Amino acid sequence: MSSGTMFLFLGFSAVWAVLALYMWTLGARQKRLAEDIAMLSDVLEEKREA
Amino acid sequence: MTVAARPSTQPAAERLAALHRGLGWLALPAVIFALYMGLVWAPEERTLGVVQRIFYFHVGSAWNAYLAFFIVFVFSIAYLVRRKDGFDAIAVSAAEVGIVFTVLTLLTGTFWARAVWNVWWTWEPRLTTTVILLFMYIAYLLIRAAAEGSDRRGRLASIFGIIAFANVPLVHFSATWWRGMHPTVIQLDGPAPRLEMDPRMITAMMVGLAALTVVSAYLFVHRLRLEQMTRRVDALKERARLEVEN
Repeated sequence: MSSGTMFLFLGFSAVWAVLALYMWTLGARQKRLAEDIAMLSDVLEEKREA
Repeated sequence: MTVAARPSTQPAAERLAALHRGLGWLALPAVIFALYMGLVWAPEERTLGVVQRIFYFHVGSAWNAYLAFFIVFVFSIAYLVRRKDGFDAIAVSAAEVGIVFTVLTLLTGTFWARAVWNVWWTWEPRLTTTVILLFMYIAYLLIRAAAEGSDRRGRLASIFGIIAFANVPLVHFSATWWRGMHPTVIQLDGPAPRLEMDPRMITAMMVGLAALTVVSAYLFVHRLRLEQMTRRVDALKERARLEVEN
């Protein structure tokens, strides 16, 4: 593999790694927020019933 | 056959979720096509060789960073004028996506620089101003995290978002104003701006730019959905706190 091909490959790998990592963090934050919304809704519902 | 009537007022969150899904399905073939155009279809550059193909994604990344920061600028002004929470949510979402694309611009540039200039990094004007741009928008997010109260946070961030945008034209014109090492794709010395490249390279660059714009829109909509959820969590916490007090 020539050095140009190697740096091209490394450059593209870095791009996809950053994008994949960012998308994973977005997914993880969405999951945590959905859990928080469900938990807080349940707490408020319980208080209303009590 | 029965056709169900579509509700006239679909909730905003559902519309945003549908847009997010649609952009996701559009981004996948767009990226595959852009990879084919940049890595296979476009001719190899005579002096730089195969590593020049990084350029097709480097330009697209830089364009999307500029676009995202322009959105921050516009919606920061809109927030200061109208004080609508939605404008602030759009600005913070765009700032985060802009940071991601600035990182991608710097990364692709670094690999190109190592292959062509034989150094990973040099403090030449375009690179230096880009790093300053990145740090300014990281500071924008830090200001948001430190400020208390949604209105105070929105006002401070909006003022900073407007000031930070002044760096974008500085980054773009730094290569011509201060004659750095960074190549200039758009030539401004004639009567009209022109691209000095093989037409097939221009096509591959435009396809890469369009594909990354779709990816950027997909990430922006996802981030905006999270911002709406964050604000909903804050509202629910406030309601719970008030109910405990009463």
